Amino acid sequence: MAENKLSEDKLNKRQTLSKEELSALLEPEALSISNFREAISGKTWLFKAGLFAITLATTTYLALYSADVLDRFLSFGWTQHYGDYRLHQIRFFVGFLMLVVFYICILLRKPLNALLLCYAGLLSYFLISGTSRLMVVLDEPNGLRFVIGYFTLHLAFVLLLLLMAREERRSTW
Amino acid sequence: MRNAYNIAELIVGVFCACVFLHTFTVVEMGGAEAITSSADAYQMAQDLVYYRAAFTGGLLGLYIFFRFTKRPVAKVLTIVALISWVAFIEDYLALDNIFYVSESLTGKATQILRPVYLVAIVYMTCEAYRREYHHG
Repeated sequence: MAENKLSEDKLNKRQTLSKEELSALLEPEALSISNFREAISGKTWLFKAGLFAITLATTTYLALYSADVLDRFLSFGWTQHYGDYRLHQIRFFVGFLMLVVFYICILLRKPLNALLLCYAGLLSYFLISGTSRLMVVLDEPNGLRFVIGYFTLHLAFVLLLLLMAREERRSTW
Repeated sequence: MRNAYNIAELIVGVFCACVFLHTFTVVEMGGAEAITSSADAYQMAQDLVYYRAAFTGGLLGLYIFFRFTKRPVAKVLTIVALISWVAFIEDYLALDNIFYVSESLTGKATQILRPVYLVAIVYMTCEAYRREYHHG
């Protein structure tokens, strides 16, 4: 008799989800910009700083590219080859796509580690092929300074992405 | 499924061997001078072909090292697949497919194997993710 009462009490005490909790769980995740603050709230401050730096650099790049300021510094500006121009267009598009996908993943709270490592890998490929191309088309000594600047800037981006990938693992989500 | 993964690995291995063989063949044929698809391509080929082969080779070397030391390979494969696809898009849209000389046998083999390789590497990535993240 006492045993039955004990099991009944256990059943009554079993934790169940409330209607609100259940509907919150079943509700599909909304992709909304207003959720951004909430989406990055679980990240470390270093991750947030990296995100800010990358966004700022990309926005600056977009603005300068749109204003045609960058043209003479890019490889097609030095060589006037159509192939270089097309290559830059493709890489510009890929870079823009990468940023959009990254922000969507943040808003959907998807794991970002693999994505950031992929970006670092792809940027390393751009860095190596871009530097090798510039080393051939540029003249000494101004060219060398420019190549060093180009290499350092790209390397800083790669390192920033790797740092963010490390910080992502430390974040709560 | 394991057999399909091994076949995909074999395809990737054969493709890489073709790329390296072709790179050396092009060098022996006179480097960029052998590539005649366009004047711009002639200039660009010399700069990109060796670095790209070395970079992809390095990443695949990393995959082989991870595979033999029984470490997770999914992330390495994702990076290799992503770079391979971007390089493929660059070749076809911007570079007029300059890296391959149609007269050479290794060039033809690389051309034929490339689409198969791209599918194989994506399959390997998906399979590696499935194994490493869904089945422990």
